[in-house]
Amino acid sequence: MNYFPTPFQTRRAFLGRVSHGVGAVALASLLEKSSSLHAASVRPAARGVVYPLPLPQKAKRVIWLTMAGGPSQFETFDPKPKLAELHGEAMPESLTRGQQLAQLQGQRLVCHAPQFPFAKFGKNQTEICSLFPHIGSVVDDICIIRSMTTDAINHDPAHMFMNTGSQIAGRPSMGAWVNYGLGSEAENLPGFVVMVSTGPGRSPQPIATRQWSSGFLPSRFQGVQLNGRGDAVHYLTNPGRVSRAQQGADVQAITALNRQHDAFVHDPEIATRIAQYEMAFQMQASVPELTDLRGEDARTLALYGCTPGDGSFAANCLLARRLAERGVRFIQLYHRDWDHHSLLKEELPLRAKEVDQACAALLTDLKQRGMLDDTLVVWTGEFGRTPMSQGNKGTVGRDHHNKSMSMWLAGGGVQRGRVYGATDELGYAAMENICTVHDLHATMLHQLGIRPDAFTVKFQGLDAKLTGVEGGGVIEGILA
Amino acid sequence: MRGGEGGGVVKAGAPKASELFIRVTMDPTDEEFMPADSKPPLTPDEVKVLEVWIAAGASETALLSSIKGAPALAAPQGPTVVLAPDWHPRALQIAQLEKTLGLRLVPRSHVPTDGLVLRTASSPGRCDDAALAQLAAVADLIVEAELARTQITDAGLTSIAAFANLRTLDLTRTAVTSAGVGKLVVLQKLQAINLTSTAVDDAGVAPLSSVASLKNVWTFDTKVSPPGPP
Repeated sequence: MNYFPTPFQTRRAFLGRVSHGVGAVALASLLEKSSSLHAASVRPAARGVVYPLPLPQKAKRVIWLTMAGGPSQFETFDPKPKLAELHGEAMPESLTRGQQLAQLQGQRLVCHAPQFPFAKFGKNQTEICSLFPHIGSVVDDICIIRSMTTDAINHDPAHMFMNTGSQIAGRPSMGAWVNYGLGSEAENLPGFVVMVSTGPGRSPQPIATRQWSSGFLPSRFQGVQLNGRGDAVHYLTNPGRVSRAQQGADVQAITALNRQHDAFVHDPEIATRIAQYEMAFQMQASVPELTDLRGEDARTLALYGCTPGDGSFAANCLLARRLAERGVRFIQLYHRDWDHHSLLKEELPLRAKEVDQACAALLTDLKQRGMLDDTLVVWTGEFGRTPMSQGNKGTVGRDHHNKSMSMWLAGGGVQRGRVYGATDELGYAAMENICTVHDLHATMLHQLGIRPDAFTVKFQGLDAKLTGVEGGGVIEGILA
Repeated sequence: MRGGEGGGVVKAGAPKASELFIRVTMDPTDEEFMPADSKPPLTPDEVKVLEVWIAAGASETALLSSIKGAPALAAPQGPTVVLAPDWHPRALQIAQLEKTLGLRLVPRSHVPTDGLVLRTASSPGRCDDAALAQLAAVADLIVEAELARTQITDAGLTSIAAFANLRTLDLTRTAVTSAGVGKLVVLQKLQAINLTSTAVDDAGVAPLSSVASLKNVWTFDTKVSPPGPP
């Protein structure tokens, strides 16, 4: 075996290639004894690095509903009657002294009552905000966590933390980790798909594409964003006189050139490029079929309450189900404009209306098709909001908050009809069964069949993990 | 304990010089780390047992309780439920089938008797009755069959009826009919069957009531009458 680098290789590519090479040889010799299954010529992307899985999978795929901006738990899933009693009074200093706040730092801190009544839903009479009657109708299928916390209090780092386990950009997003670990199931669609929606009207913060980056993992694991409106992928159709056969011949020729070049310079990014050309060619056929909703009957469209192609969160939920059916492993839908520093009472009900029916429809649809058992659905913001009012941005709202937030999960081996954890009586901080973002990640990996503490990648001299240096604990208390 | 090419496995009295101890305590990402294949590493207590046992002379007869400093280990868990025969002896055959049929036969977990999952989501168009017929040699290993949106028909259900250890079967949006579903009653371990968006009707699912193990039957978007009020 020859390990001398050619002068055309980058140092990084050489080192990466050598370590892969040695590893592959070691692995092959180990496997000769135990099994030769690994040597089978199944498409390499189909098999992840964690193989066989240490644990049987409870969840085969994830649909992550990200409510970008940070929905208030006081107007969604955490009832706080005591906060209503103290409305307008000073927030007890014992709770807030010395704490880091985002835009309320140094301001007078005043209790702000929940702005909408809560109601009891389902067999278990679970209390959630009355703005979410549809989610209420499926509340016995979900598990609400009222004791989630996060480290970050500003949007981009908070999303980054929620997606990658680190506030600093550059780590792989969870969808990338999961596809790296488990492999991508679909041959003609990416394993990690992202869609972004916004309600009509305001123009909320943008979501940066680095939120679905593959970080230090090979870039073929990064999320691929599909558009909910117009062409799902730009320039998807061939120009008028180019046939699919011609396009295929082009891709083949380019691939042949790339392979030739790769043999010379050994750069793993060329392998990524080859894979991406081939995936793009496949997607020219698969995406039109995916987004063609003519096969969905009127009942289904009415369930979600969407018009095909309107780019709404509801339409994206329907597409999420179709992506799941087609073997996409990790689907993340962002719905923006939950950042209610002001206009809480005016704007939050609009967001609630945009997502309530769609979330319930997705759960109902997955359930009736027998897919909810092995699909993990997650609903989170990037952080929670303060029990204190914020009045320095116009009409009253709430500031960013990381000591308490509410979220829910459904399917994928998570208990149904459960409320887990609690905050103090004013909802300032999680008190009982406090959960961290690392815990959430650990739990999700565990349900996907991966041991979170053993799932590492060497990066900058560290064994980098999704669950961070300190690690996360599987939230056993919510598992079925 | 005969050792391998690299010498002995255990050097009595010297854990740190014993290959066995070195392998389970080295950097877990090292190629030589044991257990291999991402299997869970030993717990600190288990490592400690090895250490004190080797230090105390690596006796083949001494009881753990007689060795000073040995941690009390939790009682071993009950026997694992065997879902299917160990697939390892048929690994080559499995690899060959994956290659020729373009399907995937994936171990459910690292436990060799946890069975295989038959996966077709990568390209359901490739999975048809003829492909299923070729799985006879591994039929008893398959515990889950994901056949949604494949090309299979009632003829293919004859092959599936031979998957004796099958627990979960997804036939969503396939061309199977009531005439075929009856063949599946021989599957006495079947727990869940998904018939969503098929042509199956009440007469088709009726025979399934004789499968005692069956817990879930999904019939959304079929002619099967919805269940009455509970």
